[in-house]
Amino acid sequence: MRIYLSLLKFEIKNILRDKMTFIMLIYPIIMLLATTILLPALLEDIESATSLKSTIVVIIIVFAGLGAFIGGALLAFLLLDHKDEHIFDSISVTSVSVSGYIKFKMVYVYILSVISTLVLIWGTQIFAGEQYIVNVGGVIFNPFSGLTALKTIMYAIVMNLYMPVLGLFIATKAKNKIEGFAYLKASALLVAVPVLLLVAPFRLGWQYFLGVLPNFWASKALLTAVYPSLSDGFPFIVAILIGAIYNIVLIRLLYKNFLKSIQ
Amino acid sequence: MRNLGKLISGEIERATKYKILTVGVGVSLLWCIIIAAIPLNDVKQIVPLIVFTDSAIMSAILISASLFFERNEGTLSTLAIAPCSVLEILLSKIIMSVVVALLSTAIIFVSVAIFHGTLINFMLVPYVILVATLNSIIGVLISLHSRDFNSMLVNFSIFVILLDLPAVLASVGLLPNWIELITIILPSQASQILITSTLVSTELYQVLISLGVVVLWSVLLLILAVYPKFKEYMVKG
Repeated sequence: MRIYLSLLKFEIKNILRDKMTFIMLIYPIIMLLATTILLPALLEDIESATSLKSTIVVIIIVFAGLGAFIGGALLAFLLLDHKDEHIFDSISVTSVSVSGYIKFKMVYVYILSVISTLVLIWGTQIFAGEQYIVNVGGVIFNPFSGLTALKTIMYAIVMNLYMPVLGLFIATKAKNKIEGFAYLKASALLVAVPVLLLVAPFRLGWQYFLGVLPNFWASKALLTAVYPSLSDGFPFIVAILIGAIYNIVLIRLLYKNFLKSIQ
Repeated sequence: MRNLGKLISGEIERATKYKILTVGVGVSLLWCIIIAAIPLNDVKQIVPLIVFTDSAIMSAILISASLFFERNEGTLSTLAIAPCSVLEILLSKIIMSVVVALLSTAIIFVSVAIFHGTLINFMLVPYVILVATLNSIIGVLISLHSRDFNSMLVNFSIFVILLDLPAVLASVGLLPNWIELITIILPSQASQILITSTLVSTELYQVLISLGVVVLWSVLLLILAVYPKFKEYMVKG
């Protein structure tokens, strides 16, 4: 445990020198500026109330899930960089085991990622929540009304579990950083998942084909909380539980494969 | 330019070895399934975004990563003493990037035609060539100004947030017209307008200005910022 505390102290000392941590810290601030200042200003120009409603939902679910994707990509390139530079060989002769080091890095980036998601959702709610409330044909639509603090925390915890899934998947499949970018291109499909949930054919049973993607269940849970009338009645808590179990299973499998790939 | 063919075939070999082509085709096929499933109106919104991501963002990041890897491998410094010019080496890399973008675009193009009976304007091909060229040059520029791989990632993130985000917002109809007009001078926004114009009706003057902006940025960046520093970058190793 003392070793991990030393590693944590090292990470905190290098917080501004380490580019990855720097991005993880700066990202939620930039996104928060976008969701509190830029996007509400742009929403004022949308005239159709119906498209305004779906645009608001898309903004919330895409931005809320973006942090996990960025964290996953950064974790992947950190692991690939260590692989390319043979850093794992150096770590293996220190008092920190390679598996311990990887677990530490995963947990560290995961916690930063969860905090980023919470800062983004709560920050948007506090500083610009009213600007996302719209009147659609006399009915008030408030996307944050169904999103309680507990639901937001559950969502952040489960959504960000796909961060290590993405990181480990790319780092295991790719032999180097170029291959890593090729796989990252494939992963860009994950960013589209929340948007697809709003497209007509995927609102019905077809959407469950997307269930194999790790961020589907958390995105579905958030959609249920933010826009219940577009959801098919699937309970929030069930989607969260399936998402959590599915991602944990994937992390275990991918983690074992990654360890094998660096041996 | 007699070595260009050989250099390009070498680049294609590298792209195959590093699975850039295989994964690129695989991803485009996955997009085809989604294109088949969604209505034409949504296709018109999603397709320009997919083509923009492939030909602009991915072209820049793949060439950037590839240069870094080659420099670490030492192949770039070897090429510096090979009997071919710096321009040929640079062009072969840019052409490879364009080929990857064209391949993805072709698959998307065919899938829209098959599943929705709609032909995307054939101007998409020259536009993708221009957009991928410009963004590949930007990718090289990012590599030239990055000390290591991590700083390249940071520079690239800044590039995406500052330059590509407005283009993405515009493509989903979130940017008011006056902001779209001002930001047309940005390489990303001009690229986005060109690609979107092949599926959604766009004012001719916007297309012409975008065309001029993309060509002008490509020439200026290549001549003033990339070409003069590329040899030094190769030799440094």
